[in-house]
Amino acid sequence: MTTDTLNPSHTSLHKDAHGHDHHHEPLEPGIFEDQHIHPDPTNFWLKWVFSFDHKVIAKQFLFFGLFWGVIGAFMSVLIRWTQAYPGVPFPVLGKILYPYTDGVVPADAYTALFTMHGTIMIFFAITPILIGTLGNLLIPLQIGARDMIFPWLNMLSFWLSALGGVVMFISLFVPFGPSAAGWTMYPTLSHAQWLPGSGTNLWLISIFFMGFSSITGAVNYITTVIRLRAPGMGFFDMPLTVWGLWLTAILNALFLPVLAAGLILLFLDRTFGTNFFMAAAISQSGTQGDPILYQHLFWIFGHPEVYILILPGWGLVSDLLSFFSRKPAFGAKLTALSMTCITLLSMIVYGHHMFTTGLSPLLTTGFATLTLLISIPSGIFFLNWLATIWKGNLQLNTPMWFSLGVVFTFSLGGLTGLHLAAASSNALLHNTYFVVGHFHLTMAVAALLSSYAGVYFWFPKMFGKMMDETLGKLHFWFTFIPVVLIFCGMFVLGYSGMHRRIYNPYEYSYLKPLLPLSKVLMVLVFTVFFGQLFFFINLFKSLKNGKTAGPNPWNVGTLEWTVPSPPPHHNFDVIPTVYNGPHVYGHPDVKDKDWLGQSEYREGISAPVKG
Amino acid sequence: MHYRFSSSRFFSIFINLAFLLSLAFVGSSEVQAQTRETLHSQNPNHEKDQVHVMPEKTVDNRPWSEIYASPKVLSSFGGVFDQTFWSVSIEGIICFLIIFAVLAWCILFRSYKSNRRAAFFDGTSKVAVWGSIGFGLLVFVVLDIPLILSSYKHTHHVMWNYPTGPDVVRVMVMPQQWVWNFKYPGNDGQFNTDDDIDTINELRVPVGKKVMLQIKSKDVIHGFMLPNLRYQIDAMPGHVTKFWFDTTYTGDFELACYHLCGTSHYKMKGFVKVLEESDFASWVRENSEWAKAKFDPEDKQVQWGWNWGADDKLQSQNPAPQMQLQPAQKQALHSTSPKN
Repeated sequence: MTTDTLNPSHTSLHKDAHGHDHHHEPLEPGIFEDQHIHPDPTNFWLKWVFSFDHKVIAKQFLFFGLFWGVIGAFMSVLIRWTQAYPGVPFPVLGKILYPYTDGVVPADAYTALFTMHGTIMIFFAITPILIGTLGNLLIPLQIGARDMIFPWLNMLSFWLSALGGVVMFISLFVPFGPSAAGWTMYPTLSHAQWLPGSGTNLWLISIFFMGFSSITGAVNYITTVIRLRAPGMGFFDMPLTVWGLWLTAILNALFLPVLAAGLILLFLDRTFGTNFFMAAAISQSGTQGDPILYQHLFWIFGHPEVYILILPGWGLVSDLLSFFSRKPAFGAKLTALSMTCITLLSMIVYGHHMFTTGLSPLLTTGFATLTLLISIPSGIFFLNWLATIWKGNLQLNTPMWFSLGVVFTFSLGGLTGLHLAAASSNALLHNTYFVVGHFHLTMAVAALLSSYAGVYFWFPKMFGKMMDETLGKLHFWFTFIPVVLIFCGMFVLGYSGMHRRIYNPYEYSYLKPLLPLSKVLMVLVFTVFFGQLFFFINLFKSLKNGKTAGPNPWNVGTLEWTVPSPPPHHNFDVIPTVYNGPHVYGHPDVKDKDWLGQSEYREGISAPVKG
Repeated sequence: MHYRFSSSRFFSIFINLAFLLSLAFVGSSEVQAQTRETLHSQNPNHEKDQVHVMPEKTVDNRPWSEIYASPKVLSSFGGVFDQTFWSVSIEGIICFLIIFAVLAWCILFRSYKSNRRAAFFDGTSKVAVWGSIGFGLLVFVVLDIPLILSSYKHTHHVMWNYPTGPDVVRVMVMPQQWVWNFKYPGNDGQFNTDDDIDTINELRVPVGKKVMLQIKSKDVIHGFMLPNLRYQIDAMPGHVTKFWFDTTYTGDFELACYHLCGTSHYKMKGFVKVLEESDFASWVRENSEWAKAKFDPEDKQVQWGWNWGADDKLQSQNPAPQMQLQPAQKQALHSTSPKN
């Protein structure tokens, strides 16, 4: 973007699609900026590889995320196999992966597996798909902009991710294996003394790049939403998807630097012999470090991170529930404010991850109270979700099923959060499978299902083709039922006292009776793993010869559906003017159809010009 | 948004990053010299040794409600957990059932009909807004306040209300990879003296008495977990964490490390033996005498411990020796470190 385009142009008014000119007073300064139309790039490299176009970058993030998602999911299969059949070779692929042990997953590989599963799923699968893909695709399209405000930064964001991906991929194959200290990478275990080899160093560098990528993306998202909203679009006229992505971006920009600081210090500890996190008993110089310091740094980032992963999903689901109920989103403003409230609360509750470190009783009770406060805004937007579908006219297609699935799984995950927030019931459940079940249902399964909802919903906009509905529904049921059962099974395991990250739980006699349950979970994991084949078949089949989608196949009113699918390089020929909120469905005064586009002016319904 | 591709800017970043990458390899190159092959030549079976076999089939005749539940409560405060857990669970199940019922009702009875329009209400009326906010407050009052009170009680009045006095059994715990070290003050009631009892992987406590633990890790972070007690506490290097518990019946229990502490984390199992008071007293007496007889002040390698603190009755009269590592031992401790 050249410097002249950064100057807000208060006078450039555009006529809306109907040729009306409703602007009689100047628009609020800074809300709309002049955006030039640039010619499409013709060079292959500039068009598909080093592209500045947010829609191409979104596709790059999508395939990047899917590639890593398959690797991460396969790791979870290996993990569950080891839990269900300790000492039994993994079928077919075991001999290739672990030739030294005749196909059995050994203990050191197991620790590396769950470390990498967590890392990959969080930083390389969910973040790129939910934030990278949907954020890039939707923010400019839904607020009526021609591209992100900093296209170069946007490209850098993807290529930093790609670099991080390469480094992480290399780290899987270095001597001593990849990092194996858990995805939290707590010192002192992650120090070179206990975790030798370059795997952990590469892990630190890779996550540093991924964090850098997210920060550049976040700066871009925040600024774009603030500066490039179409004329007439106030903050509460933005679809809730954009709200979710915007709040996520704010958390990313604020807290990933904290993680970066922790990673750099840990890197220095590992490679240059500093003592930031090494306690006195084992330090090599006179200075005393503290491993707790890292936990504070990590969780100051780490707790917002779980909201980073789920906020886009919340926003997206709030929108989709309204779209496919053909009904306005109930209390959309309150939903947006609840999400903001949760964003703010997420910054000050991280201490509940450290209840067992011997936090003082004041801090423990304080963090427990703050954590429990999250249930107020959560309660409000659950109420809003249910009131949105209540008395609706539900179009039960694939994206809608996935959205309903998010409501279901997130309710399970959210309610078990109460057990873990209270210090008295956390006392046994901390670090058990109960925690694993809880955070998977909230930030993993809910985030995964909402990514799928998003991909099924915006696939026509991205590629101009529809996805297959039958395969989509099969995919939903083969994903939804097993994952819910898996993680509910983990609640039972956790309540029975099985702690996390144990290679062979059956070393303990009180855990031996839980073996049959582990076997059931393994079968379910296989089901869900192969259930994803429906998605991939659907994806490639639809890409090749899917039904052609018109500009608006779902009859939805947000701005991205006013342009052709896929949109032209500059998105909007004329920057639209917004007269309606994003959720005008089933309005009694609109007789000819049951929805109204955001840029469609109807006398008596639309606001003349909204600020 | 001008599409001039500035390759020099772009690639200079990559070159800098490549430099950083190479640093990562150099950083631990010394350790990398020991590759898997070298280890393999030392012990051809070293990988296979780690692999565990399937547990043999055990017939468990207990009802499923006992199998899939936390082990029987041992401590006097464990009931608080069970009470809180089940009250939250029941509330949670009710909330979940309401949510599920609404979802199911809408799916079953409100699926799409082309001749029907959805009801039009968007929740912007005053009643709806204040109703929603009121609902949020209701959630707070019904779900949260009991939990906040129970957390407060649990932390202030139970877990941090450390027992003192001569009746309290005091034990120092120093976990290391992948062993539990326990130390009792012995007959003189004072730590770091010649009659201290050291045990490995075995914590003996008398039934009914309060036990005070001071825990400090030797190397990485470990965690002290006995599900029967309904509490867990971290073991940190460089910090002493404190934990007390009591027992209500005798028996043998398995102590687990719950905090990932390396490859053999899963094998870091200890035993807690809850004995009759008289058995425990005679065990302490005999072993303390035995320890005193065998004590070798020169053998610094086996001595460990720290100042117990104000509780240690004889502390002021006879300051306990701190564990002082000799230079040679320091060397031994760090022999695996890449720096030495």
